[in-house]
Amino acid sequence: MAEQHEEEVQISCSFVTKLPAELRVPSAPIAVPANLTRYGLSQIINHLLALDPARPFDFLIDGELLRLSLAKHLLDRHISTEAVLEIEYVPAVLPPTPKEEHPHEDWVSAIAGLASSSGSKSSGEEGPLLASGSYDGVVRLWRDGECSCSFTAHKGPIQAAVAVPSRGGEGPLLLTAGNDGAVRLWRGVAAAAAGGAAPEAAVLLKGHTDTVQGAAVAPDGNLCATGGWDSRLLLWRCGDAALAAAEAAVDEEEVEAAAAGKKKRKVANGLAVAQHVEAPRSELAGHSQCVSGAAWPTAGTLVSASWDHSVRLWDVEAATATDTFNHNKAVHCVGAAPGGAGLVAFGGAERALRVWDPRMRSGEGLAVKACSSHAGWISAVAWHPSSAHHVATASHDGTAKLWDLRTSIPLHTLEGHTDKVLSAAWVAPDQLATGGADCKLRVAEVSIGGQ
Amino acid sequence: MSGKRSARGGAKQAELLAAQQAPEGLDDAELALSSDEEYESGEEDSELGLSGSGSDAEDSEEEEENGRPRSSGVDREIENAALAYMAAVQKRQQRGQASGSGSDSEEEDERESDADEEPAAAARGGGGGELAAGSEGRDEEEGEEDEDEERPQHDDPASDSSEDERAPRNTVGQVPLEWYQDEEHIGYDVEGHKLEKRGRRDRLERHISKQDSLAKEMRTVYDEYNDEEIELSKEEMRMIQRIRQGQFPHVEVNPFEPEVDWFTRDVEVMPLSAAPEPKRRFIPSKWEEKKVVKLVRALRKGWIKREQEPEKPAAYLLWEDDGRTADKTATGLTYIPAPKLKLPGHEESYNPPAEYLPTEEEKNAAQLLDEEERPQFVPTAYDSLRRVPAYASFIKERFERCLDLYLCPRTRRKRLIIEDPEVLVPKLPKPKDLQPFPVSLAVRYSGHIKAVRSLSPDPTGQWLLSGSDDGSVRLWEVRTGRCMRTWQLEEPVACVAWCPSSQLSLAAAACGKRLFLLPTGTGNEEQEAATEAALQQALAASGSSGSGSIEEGQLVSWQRWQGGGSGSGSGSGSSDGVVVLHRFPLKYVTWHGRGDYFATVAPTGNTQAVLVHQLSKGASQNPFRKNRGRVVRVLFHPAKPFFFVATQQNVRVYNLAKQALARKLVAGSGVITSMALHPSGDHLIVGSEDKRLCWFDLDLSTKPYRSLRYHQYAVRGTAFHRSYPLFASASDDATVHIFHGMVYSDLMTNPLIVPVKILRGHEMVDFQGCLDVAFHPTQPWAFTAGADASINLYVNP
Repeated sequence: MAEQHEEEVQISCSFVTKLPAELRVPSAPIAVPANLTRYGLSQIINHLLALDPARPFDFLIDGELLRLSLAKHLLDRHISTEAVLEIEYVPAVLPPTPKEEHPHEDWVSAIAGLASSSGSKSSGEEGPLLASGSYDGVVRLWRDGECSCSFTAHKGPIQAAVAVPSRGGEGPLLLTAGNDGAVRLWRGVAAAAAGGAAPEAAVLLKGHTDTVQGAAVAPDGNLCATGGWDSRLLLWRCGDAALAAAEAAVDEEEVEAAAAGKKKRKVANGLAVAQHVEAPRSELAGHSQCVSGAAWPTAGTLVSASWDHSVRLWDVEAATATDTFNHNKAVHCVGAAPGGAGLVAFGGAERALRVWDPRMRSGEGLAVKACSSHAGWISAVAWHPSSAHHVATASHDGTAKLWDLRTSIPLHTLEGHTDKVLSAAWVAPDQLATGGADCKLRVAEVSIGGQ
Repeated sequence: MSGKRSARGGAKQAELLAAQQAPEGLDDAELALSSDEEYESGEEDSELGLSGSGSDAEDSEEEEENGRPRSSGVDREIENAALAYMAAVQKRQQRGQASGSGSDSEEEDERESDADEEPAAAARGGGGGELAAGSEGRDEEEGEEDEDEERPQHDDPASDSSEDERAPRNTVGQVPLEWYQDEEHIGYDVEGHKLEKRGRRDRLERHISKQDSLAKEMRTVYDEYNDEEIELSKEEMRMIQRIRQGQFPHVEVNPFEPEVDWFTRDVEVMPLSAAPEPKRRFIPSKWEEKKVVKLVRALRKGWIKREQEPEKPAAYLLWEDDGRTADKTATGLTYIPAPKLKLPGHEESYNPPAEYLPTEEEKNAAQLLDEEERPQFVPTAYDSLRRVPAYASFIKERFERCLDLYLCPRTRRKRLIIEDPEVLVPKLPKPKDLQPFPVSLAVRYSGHIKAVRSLSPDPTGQWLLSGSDDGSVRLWEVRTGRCMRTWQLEEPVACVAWCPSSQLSLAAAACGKRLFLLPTGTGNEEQEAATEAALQQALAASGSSGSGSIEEGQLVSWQRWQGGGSGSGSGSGSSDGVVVLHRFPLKYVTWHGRGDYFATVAPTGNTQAVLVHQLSKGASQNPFRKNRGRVVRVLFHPAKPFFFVATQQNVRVYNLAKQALARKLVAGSGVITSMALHPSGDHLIVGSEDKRLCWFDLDLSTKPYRSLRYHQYAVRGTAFHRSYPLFASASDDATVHIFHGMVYSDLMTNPLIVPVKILRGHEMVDFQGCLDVAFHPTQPWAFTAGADASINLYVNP
């Protein structure tokens, strides 16, 4: 009887959406059975829109994704079933489809997507260019499943690789950092991928005395921050600015060399032909232990994570820490929501992904949300380049997971790696690359629908 | 008539008196009819009596003659009792009438004799019955009359109380009469004059008197002591008769009187009190109700606790009290029962069955044994009990028994009975309040093939170095578990130690008789250059030739080693190390905090067990030539010039500046296997093979402050955390125990030691479990090395 009664419960709800007009349904309230899940609601929407083929939708109630049945969701959140419920629907994220798998000679520890923001659109048929750094110190460039170029970037393992946007015509630059404490800015990557000469280490950012663990580049590409085992978080001139400085310096050197009759441009370690050594612009003092990760969501804000259990928010202009979240475990990686959403997600020596909203004071309780699903440490956090809700994580348990932060249950789990997954990056808005200790780089196609 | 006795004179006197009294006789008769004067009756009686005598005399005499032998001892007793009784009565009479006239008494005699005729006649049976029959009735009447008259004036003659008052009328004293049997006198009076025997009347005299009054003669008995004849009255005779028949002496005593139930529980129809029943009998008592309410409330609130009877177990020792072990004696000492002897069995029998008897062989075999081992008792058969000889060793055994009793402990150790053992456990904070500490397995570093002996994380916490029995030293990245580098050293690696200097990237590995100084290649260029320079400098300073052997007179030999390592990240120039050749197999190496000095331990190297090397000078010295015991571990104090040397038995602390022994710590436990020093340098933990972990407070005592025995097998490794209040012990039982060890800067507060976690995750291989434990330098993480060739990293949850 009780079940029957439950079945009879109807909830009147109105569906709203921010999707284009052809995907809108009339906002008049509809009575739906309370035991409907996401799938049932999706069917209703499809029915109302008479879509063929059907498109899956996800449903948001008060900003939270519906994962259980409607009745349970409302019961858990103490939402009345009497009033008209406003349900927003968004296109659902489809399960990722594995696209490519690139074997490496060593562990894949860093991935950077080198999708040129302006240039690559023209060559639309080409897949995104991605660079992978591995433990043998080699950076490999991949496009469409082919390793177009590989070059030794560092003496030791590469721990970080970030694409630096550049306004120059040669496409994005690549910033790599490794165990040898060096940070290098590479130019001519796109050309190398296209079959040209190997990339040139244009600038050597020299300042760290130990392994560089994390790096982040400002959205405009003119600044970058690196942190490492020497507990320092350094700010560097980067991108076009650094290149310009390097060129100026080279010119100067040439002048000097011509004057002194001495050839300055020497091959250093066979790594680079021309290297301009850049000193750190400033140091953000505060961390007491290894700075393991950094993220640069907006031009003036920098987020850093450290083994001293803290996640710090920096005002780059003032070079001061504006906010600090003190965790109780070492933090290994950090990611920040793009476009000034302000959310910070980090993973550390624990199994949960933590999401910190710095806009909420810590006293308010819910400043940090834990998303537990992984069975091992989280080794990388990759925020979707355009969506403020979608985060990909890589974990030592051999999986990568895709999260929608509007619910604490992961959307999808990417399996396939046979060992620890060490790195994850969005190489294109719809492509997630993961690399791991099984010496494989895997690319999966994920469509964050409608965005 | 009872109790009426008169003083008696002799029979002659009586007759004389009787003659004198004759004129008064009439008065007497008159009086006897009406008056209440007791003593003056009898004239008639006497006459009657006289008349009634005659043929009875002979009978009476016969009676007397025959009666004596016939009457048994009982009769004699009764007679004596009667005599004593009568004497008492006489005495009272004497008191009663001060000088009761002689006539009176004589007269009474007369009268009494009459009165007594009747019992005599009765005794005779039918013999003279007819003669006395006529007067009998009257006699009785008179007697009864007299009796009634007398009662008010005299005590009840039956009362025994009168006997006590009997005055010594006996003038002779209590002398046996046979003393005077043949004498003329019967004794002496108070003044010493002889009391003449009156002499018994001879036969003739008696016959005459019998003729005179047979009945009287029959009732007369002779009192030897007082030398007088006493006549019994008729009533007394009857009394005697009744006593002889087993009846009450007095007729009036009724033993079967109806019982009157004076106090009865039956409700009387007419009660003694006619008052109506009071009201309080009907209404419930207010006071009682109050009291009950009070009690009920007290019971409900638990103020009064009802004692619950202890439940008797269904099965109990039936003879539990036999031992009486717990009882207290009156002296307050505990009663200890003496040890019990063994009870004799069949073999102790004088004629035991044949199977108990030892055979000849057994006897001979027993003879061969020592005296102490020989059986104490040999069963022997005798055909009868009387042939059993005296027990030969009786005295000896008795003596031994006495010894047993004497040596039996007289005091009993008091056993402490603790009902709730939890009470004794000290109040410790809960482990969850002491977080962080390593709990869960996060990373497993796999690559070694054999048991991992030693672990050493680098000072920053990024790298971990491990040495294994498979002869390899491996460098691991802590975060990912990546083996960055491997050095194959051919022999099992006993110990690895990372150089604490921040300028160098150098590690030491003890492997067989060689100590390797390995550039790890993890540092930046400057560090690697500095390391290479330091090694070069050491080689140059040591001045040793590259001969590959130790020269005479040298402790060690410093050599360049070209082994190199394999693995990613190994640069071109960093593979060359330095090897320090020793004479003895090394088991341990440790660095001084600054990274210039390091010490090696070769337990078998007697006088060269401990060598201290200096990297910058390439020098080695042997500061301890005398090591009492086999040295196991050595440690440098982090700040002070102290040096800890752990031998298998104890730990010696040397002051290097003064070159003197500063302290000797006695663990009091088994063979020491490991040692770790608190970062403050004031506390030391020592693990030993007897499963114990001892905490020494160096400022407190040379004895352990705490001895922790939690492991099931030997402790193999110990470690202190550099910054967190944690320490750990690894044991062969494949577990690592994590302790919270808070040291307070306040010297008055003792360190707080709380076991917080047991880390399991290794497996026992060949009775070896966890061989080493090390803490991460900055995080609350623990590395454990197992005999199962794996290394685990445990992190806080």
